Amino acid sequence: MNYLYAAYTVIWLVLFIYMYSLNKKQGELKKEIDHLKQKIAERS
Amino acid sequence: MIYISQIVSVIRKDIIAELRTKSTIGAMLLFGLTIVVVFSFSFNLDLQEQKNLAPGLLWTAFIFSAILGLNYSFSSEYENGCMQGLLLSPIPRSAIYIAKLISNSIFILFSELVILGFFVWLFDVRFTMNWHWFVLLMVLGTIGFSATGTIFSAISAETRMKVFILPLLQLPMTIPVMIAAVEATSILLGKETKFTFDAWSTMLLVYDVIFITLSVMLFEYILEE
Amino acid sequence: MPRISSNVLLIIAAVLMLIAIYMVFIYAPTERTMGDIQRIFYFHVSSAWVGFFAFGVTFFYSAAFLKKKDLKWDNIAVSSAEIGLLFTTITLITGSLWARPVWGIWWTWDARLTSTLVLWLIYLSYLMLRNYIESETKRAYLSSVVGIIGFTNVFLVYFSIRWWRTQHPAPVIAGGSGSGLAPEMQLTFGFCLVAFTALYVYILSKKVEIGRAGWEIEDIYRTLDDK
Repeated sequence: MNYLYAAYTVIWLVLFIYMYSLNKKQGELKKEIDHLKQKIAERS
Repeated sequence: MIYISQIVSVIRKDIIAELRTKSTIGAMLLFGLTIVVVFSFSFNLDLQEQKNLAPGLLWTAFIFSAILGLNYSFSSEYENGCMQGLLLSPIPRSAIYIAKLISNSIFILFSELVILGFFVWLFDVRFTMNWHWFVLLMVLGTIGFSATGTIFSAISAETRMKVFILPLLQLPMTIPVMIAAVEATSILLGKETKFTFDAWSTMLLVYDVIFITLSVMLFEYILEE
Repeated sequence: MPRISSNVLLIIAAVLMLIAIYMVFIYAPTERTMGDIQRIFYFHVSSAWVGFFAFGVTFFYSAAFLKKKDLKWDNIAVSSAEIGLLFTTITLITGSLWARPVWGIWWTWDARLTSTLVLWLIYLSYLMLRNYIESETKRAYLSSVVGIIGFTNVFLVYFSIRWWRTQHPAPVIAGGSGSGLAPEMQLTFGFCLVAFTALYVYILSKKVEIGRAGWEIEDIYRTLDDK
């Protein structure tokens, strides 16, 4: 049944795209935190 | 009771201010009437189709006109610096909400009556049951619309985009009101729907009670700094 | 809340999801009247229930924030709302894909569909509202109010399916007499529900971590400024 496969494909696509973007955001934030912590270490 | 007199004084303030300028009511009326005229141009309806669509068109005109009035309800307070005055006064926040609810409902009901007259004239609708049932419907629907409309109006006055937020929040929330009001109105126009007029009216009443109660409890948090 | 690493939660959710897929496609028997298309039901309804649940969480933490004024609660509230919106979107899309072959139409304005769409709109407006408020505390206060009022609508949604006759398939889960799922189907559905809940918990913990990271950055900037 094409509709069945379409439905589950949509579900997985949506979920994966969302979770991927979340992970990316977290990665960027982590990079910024490390960068800032380095700056502090340099200062002191 | 002091509480009631406080509410009454805020209502009186709103009404007197409005009577002086008549700006809000004027805009609401003009907007509502224009919508009705636009509807009559937009659709080339025969008599039967008109009867079917009439309740929906009427209530759409009502709510768009109401949104205009609701938008002005709190933004005018901020513009004129009245909000400070209201907040500094000993009036409890919930009383401000109830007063605003009532004055908003009064303004909206008034413009709805005028729009209704215009609509009946242009669309030639006849009510098979008595008029007073429709008035009841208007009152219940308007109160329900104002219940969330008042509190959302206060919320949108505090945001960046101001008047654009109100429709965004209000329209989805009040879809149950719209459905019940439109269905009940079509019963009055002679159409059969799944439920009786009493059922729809009760639903409106329940909606009103629930959301007024909630809003009274939550209103003070909007004004927190 | 104990600080379980989100990676652990991810593994749990992933494993549960894999098993769930197996159950949906292989373990569960084919439905008599609708055929294989009925298998959409497991993820469609699981997504719907977890979506509703997410909005309940938003409601709870909105109220908690109004009581305790702690921004952490607000962060959970908005995170849960976003996930709820995500799952409700999945519900609407899979519902349409189910409706088309079975009813012949993509959409119908019956009670439950309408209410789900309305709910989707309300939470979309909740998230948009937050975009238009600068101050973090103000944002939390205003959206908490909307979150509470919005969720109350969910009950009108839920009871509408009970009180109004609709085109939507009659309640089969808790519908009392007349509802019926084969035991394998019940097991499959229950499992999918658990899998979706695990997924929800994982994403929520991820978002909480992101929120925390954001605050950490703010704190660092503040200490840098002080120096």
